[in-house]
Amino acid sequence: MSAILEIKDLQLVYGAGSQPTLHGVDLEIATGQAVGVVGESGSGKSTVAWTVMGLLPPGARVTRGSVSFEGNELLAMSAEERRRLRGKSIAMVFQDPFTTLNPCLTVGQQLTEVLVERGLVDAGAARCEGLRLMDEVKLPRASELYDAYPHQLSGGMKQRIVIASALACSPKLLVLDEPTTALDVTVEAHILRLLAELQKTRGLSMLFISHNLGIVEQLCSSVTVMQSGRVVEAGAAEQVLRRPNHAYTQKLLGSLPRLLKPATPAPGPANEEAPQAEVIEARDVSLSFGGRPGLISRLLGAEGNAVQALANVSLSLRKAEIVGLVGESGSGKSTLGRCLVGIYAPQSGEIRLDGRATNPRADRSDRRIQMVFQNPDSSLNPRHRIGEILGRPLRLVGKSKREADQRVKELLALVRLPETYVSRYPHQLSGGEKQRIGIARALALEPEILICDEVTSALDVSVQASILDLIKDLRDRLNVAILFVSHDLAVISQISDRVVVMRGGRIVEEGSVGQVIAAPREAYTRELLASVPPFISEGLSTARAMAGA
Amino acid sequence: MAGYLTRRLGQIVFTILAMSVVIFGITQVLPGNVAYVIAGQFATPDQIAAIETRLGLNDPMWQQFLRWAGAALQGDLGTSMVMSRPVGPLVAEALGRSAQLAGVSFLLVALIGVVVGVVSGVRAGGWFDRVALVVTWLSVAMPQFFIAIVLVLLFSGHLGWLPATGYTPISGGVLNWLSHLILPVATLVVGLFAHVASLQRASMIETLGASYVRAARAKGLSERKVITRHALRNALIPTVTVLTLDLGILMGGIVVVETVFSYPGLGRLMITAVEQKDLPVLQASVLTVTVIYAFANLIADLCYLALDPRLRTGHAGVR
Repeated sequence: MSAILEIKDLQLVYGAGSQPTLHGVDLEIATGQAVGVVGESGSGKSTVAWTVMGLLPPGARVTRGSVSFEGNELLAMSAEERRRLRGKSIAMVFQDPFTTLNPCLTVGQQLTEVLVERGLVDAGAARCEGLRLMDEVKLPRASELYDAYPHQLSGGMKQRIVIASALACSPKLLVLDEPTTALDVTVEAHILRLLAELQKTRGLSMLFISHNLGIVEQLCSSVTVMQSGRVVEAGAAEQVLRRPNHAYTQKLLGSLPRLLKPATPAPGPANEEAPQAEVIEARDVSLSFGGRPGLISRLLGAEGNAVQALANVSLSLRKAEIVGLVGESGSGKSTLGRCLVGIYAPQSGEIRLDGRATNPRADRSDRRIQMVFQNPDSSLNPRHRIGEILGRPLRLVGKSKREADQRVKELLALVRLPETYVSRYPHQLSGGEKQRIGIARALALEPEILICDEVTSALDVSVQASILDLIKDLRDRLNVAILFVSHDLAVISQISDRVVVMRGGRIVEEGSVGQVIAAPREAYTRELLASVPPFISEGLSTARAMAGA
Repeated sequence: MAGYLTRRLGQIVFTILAMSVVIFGITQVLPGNVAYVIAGQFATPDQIAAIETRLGLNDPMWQQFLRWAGAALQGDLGTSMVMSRPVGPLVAEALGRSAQLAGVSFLLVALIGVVVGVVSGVRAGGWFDRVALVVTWLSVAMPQFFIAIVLVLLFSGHLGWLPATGYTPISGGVLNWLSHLILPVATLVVGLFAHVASLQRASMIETLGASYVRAARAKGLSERKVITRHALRNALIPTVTVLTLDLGILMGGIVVVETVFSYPGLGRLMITAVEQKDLPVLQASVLTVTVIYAFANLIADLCYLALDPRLRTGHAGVR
């Protein structure tokens, strides 16, 4: 089999005088083969994709090596020659379908513009061809969707449109940059199935960029692992994933959260003692957003369009218990977390602390409940030093400067960061370190309840593993009750004592980890579980058999 | 869509009502009244009192307002207290002249601003961008009356190419009409195009960095297509906002420019009405500006709807 794409010893520099981003990368894709490139942020995997596409940002310069496509050297081609190749012979699917489609053009226009531009079809036949493509990526009601605008489509539909438009000119090589990362897990599973099918029926060659080893296995026969601009391991997917040679690959695989709890789960305090009293409880909480238009608009007959975010949800947390709250986007999981903290006041139902109802209008700044946010880049003030960020809540409750400084040092030690970080700014920290600061800030006032909203979803897997460790450790040491909100079932199964599954503003299933993961009662939970890549849910069937499901 | 328009028109009516009350209130707190102006410098208190009675200036404020509002609703905007001419034709005539000035200026501001902004944004850091940046800084830094005076000194004083003041209707010859319009228009355009240009530049740069533009390039579309089809329309959305604001500034600018160039438009009419406390004229001309601005905002919002499909509610959604 001949190689369709051959990258040899590729070295690339961003900006003159800086360190190379790629240090001699080698990669080969045989015709009809799908190759996965896996690495964490900063590994240079996306830079490889951009080099192949010829869309490197200004300032990037290839200093050594070659990239050949069907035997032709891409790096020697003129910009115009490369443009002719793009879309026609090499096409690309991007990470985030929500920003990849132009909000001002209809789906159909964007789907077929490349065909019209190339003169492959005339404007009249474009619609017919567009509908055929939409059919190929299994979009229902194609003729209706063709004239719709992107915002009228769900994320999964948008990504199918992006894939269809990449396929429009029947390219030989498809470059996919994290094509499912922005999607819900059930949607991800459908898209991966579609891609696998297209690869077979069209004989497509694929360069599949991902941070997730578990997904790569479903699509790729061969895997290349990158770290800091270097290829550390490459080979057949089976070999790299089951018998990794390089220490980094082993670490990546070790960090990957699996669906099954470790064979001997470290029993948390909640498991040892008699059930503790509930520290916080949501009772029949309902909340809807939007709806009430302004006074004048209402006088003039505007109608509301309320969205029910929570519908009679009840949930409780016991001391030193980690409850995993899992659901897809729009399930209401984050809203529930915010109701517990008091950011939102429920419209009906109540939040009870230690068995007493709280007044949602008064004193919603209860310092016994604290929150850790998803994105540490945006939840830490970039102009404040770490010392100020951590000291601020302490000063706000009237602690003296000395007491606060002392506590800040304790907090840094608690999240395993050196004391010297006091004088640093957030941008001088890595993503994982920033999230540790976010956790430390939430712990500053010794809360009894911690709401963690997707706290690891912006992090690399190896960093995620260490943050999960830290959270478990803090629970054991400080006896805080933790509501861990996440879309990732595998992560939830790793960290939680109890799992709550939400969908469309309602709780659909609730139970111990073992029960929910191994013997789910609800169809939706089963669908969620089935969407988890097989590599990550390995061994689950045996567990299910044991649980008698 | 019809419901939306009805609601917006309702809001406009409300705005006009509120505005007329505000103008009326302001004129009442101004010292002196129109009687002093009409009677002249050497009038006796008796003469002034007689004029005040004749014009009903001693009636309570709400009575004066209702009298004015009642007549205005029947299409009678009153009579100028000083010039003894019906206000309607007076304002209409001035408005017509100002509309020529403002209309030409606004079109040029939009055109030059967008073109300069787009070209600067697409070639950010290039020579055109740098020259444009210096020019826009200069034009923003100079106050309008200063620009006006420099232009007059240069083109009518020193070079003698253009008349310094006045207005000729287009029926008096296109060239003649144009020669009176060039300097005031230039003053307004120089003062305003920089807003549009710098905002258009920034929004163009931002849009060119958007994922969908990268995706369009990845499809192999030509750079011209990428810019005109994918970037430009999205980059125009913030420009509509600044153009609407500029229309407000432009109407303020007209007052200055018409005064400097002795251009007999709405701006000068307003200044005169304020000086003479000629309430009916002031009411009518300020309300005219209010109506124009209210409709400009409505048109701007309709532009948003045309440019950005996400704002079109009530569209049969596909889910």
